[in-house]
Amino acid sequence: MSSNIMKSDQKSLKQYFRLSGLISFLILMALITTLLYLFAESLIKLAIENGGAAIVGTEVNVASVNLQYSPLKLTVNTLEVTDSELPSHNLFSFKQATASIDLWQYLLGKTIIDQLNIEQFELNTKRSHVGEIYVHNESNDDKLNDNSLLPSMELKLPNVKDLLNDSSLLTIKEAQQLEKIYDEETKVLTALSEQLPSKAKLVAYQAKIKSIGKMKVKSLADFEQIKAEFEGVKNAFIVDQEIVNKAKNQLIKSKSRLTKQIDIVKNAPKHDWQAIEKKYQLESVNTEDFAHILFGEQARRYFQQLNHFYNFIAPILANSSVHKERKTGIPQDVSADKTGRFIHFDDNSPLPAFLIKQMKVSMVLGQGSFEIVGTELTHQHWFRNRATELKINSIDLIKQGEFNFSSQFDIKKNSDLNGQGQWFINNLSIGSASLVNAKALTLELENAELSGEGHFKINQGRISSSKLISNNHFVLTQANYNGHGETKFAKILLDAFQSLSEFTIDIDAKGNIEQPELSISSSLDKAVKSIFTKQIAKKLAEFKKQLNSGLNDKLSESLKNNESSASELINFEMLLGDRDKALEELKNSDVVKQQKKKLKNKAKDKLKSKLSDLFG
Amino acid sequence: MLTLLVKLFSVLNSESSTRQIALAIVLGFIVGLSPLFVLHNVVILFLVMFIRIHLGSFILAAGLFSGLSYLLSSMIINIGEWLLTSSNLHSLFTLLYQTTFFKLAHWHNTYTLGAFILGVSLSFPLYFFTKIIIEKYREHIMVTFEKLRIVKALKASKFYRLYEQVSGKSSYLGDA
Repeated sequence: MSSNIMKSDQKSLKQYFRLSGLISFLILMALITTLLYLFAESLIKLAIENGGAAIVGTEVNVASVNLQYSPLKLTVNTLEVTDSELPSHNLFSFKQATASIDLWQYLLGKTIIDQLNIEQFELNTKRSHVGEIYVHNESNDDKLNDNSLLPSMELKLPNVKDLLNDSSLLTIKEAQQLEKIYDEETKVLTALSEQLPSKAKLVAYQAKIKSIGKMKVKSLADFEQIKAEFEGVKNAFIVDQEIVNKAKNQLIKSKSRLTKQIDIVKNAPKHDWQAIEKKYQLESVNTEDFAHILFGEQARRYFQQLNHFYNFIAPILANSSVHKERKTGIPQDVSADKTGRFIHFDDNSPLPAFLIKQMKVSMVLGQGSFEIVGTELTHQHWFRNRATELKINSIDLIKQGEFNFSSQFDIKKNSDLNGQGQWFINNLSIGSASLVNAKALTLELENAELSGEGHFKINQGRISSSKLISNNHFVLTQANYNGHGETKFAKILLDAFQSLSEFTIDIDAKGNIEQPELSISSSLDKAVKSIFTKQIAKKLAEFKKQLNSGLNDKLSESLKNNESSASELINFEMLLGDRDKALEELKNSDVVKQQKKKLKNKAKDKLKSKLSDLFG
Repeated sequence: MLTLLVKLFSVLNSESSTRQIALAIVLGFIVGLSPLFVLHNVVILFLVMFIRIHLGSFILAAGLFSGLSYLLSSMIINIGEWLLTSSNLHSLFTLLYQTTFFKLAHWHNTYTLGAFILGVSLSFPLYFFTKIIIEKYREHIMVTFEKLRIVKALKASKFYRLYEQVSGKSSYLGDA
């Protein structure tokens, strides 16, 4: 019975499970592990070659890969990446790279490299065969015209006569305007002068007053009649006086308008000179920033290269903003990335998603050999609270030059980036470097010794708008130049250079790291200006004298032409004064008072005679 | 393509139970959507081999749905991204993140988690849908098809010989 039940159970279990499957699974797993073990190196080699090609768009070759399992150590021998612009050469290559990887952390989704060594890292080396190009990049380099800042100024001064005959001169325009104003104001004042009381009218007024004064006053009625007649004449005076006052007000307005215009005319030659200076770039002779003209483009290119490097690392750094995204809960568009990304949460033993604890790169370039040492290379510094340190050294830069660069930077949890660094160059021999290659001027530095130092600081700001402060000082000694100048300006500049064996350049950058404001100053400015001024100062001074003299003549002529109009105005003013005075005198005439006094005296006399008759 | 079609007919016409085939297709669906080398795929592979389900259907489904996964990759990543960056689920994922299995399974990867969640959430409707479809096929279409003259003609063709060959192998793989 029990055996039947057991058989039944076994049958039931067999119905759902198969033990052979379990064995098959184990065999399959063992097979996969074995295959991975046997072909891991080949698979990694293929992954580097195909993955690298997908990233850079050109053929990537790896000679061999060695994998050591305990501890996990990956060695890549001879990696070559084809340059898309020159397929016969490598963009970069290295002889050997060794990385000690923490396998357990790798399985958990983190890449922790204890030690990374790269030997003989080289740029632009010749390939054994021409590399294939899978993606043709359109070159979008902003090939700036290197003569864009070089003034096309030819030191041929304009003809003074032609300039003075130019009808667009302000002096001429404003003089014409003055004449027009004179005409307008004269017309207005003439119209008013016609309304003024004439001399005859004033004489008639005086005669009338005189006749009123001569009228006999015998009684109070006579006096009232005299008073009424005087009031009648007085009202006529007031009407005339109003006309005079109106003319006086108009005269003040006209004088003010004319005075203003005369001031404009007097200043016009000065403005004309400024305009001529600007038009013919005469002012640039004194204010031209030669250092910026000559080195501005190159400095800008260096900063553009730094900016390209920054743009390359910025997306990697931007991944550190995971915490910010998580807070918002808004999904990020990651459709471009077909493999997704790891999102890490707070951990009991936190580690960054990517970390190289120690890195050492030996780099061989045409300019010399470099040793790059880095520690704590990551984009999530807050996990271990340690900053990335990067040091680059060379003691054979262009034969005997010494170069040293060191920097530290760290990214905070809120994506703020803080970084600083310093560099110096010593005894760097420079040979045959093109400084200016413009149509008007070609200037080549044949040889020189360069020394310099500088520092930079990127502080407190979101990745997208980090602020940069950088000061860099260069000293060029034992310099020899060669070149050719087409224009007078270029020739003077060339002479100035050839007389200089030493100068300094200071390049400062500040502002947004993507578009820093560059300021360039140099002792060259002073030297070139001094030579420049000596050569053209006399010519320029003579030109200025002639032109200003011509402009002043034009001014005098204009003022002289309007002299008659001005004298008319003065006469009119005098006339107004006379009329006003005469009317005022007539208005204030005491003829009524005199008549009143006469009446009083008569009354007194009459009273006296009556009293004497009465009292004897 | 011809072989694939033959395999499909072979599975549908085999004597395996509809549940076994439907379950195999569902598990193949989850594996197909996910990246190949992830921990939950190993667990599913173990289940597929240990439990009596139709192996042929599983392999076929995994192959078909891995193609679909490529087409749906953006959507899968967005699902994973939305889940892992959701502020409401932050505490849950922080808790899960403390476990080694969660990290080892790469469920903190947007693609892996998105594929797994999409696969699991669609597995139940897919199971019942597949089961019904196979039953309906066997009940109506298969019988009707076999009566057709063209099918009879096909049975005499090279295609049918190939079908019979694969059918023989398939019955071995899908031994219920």
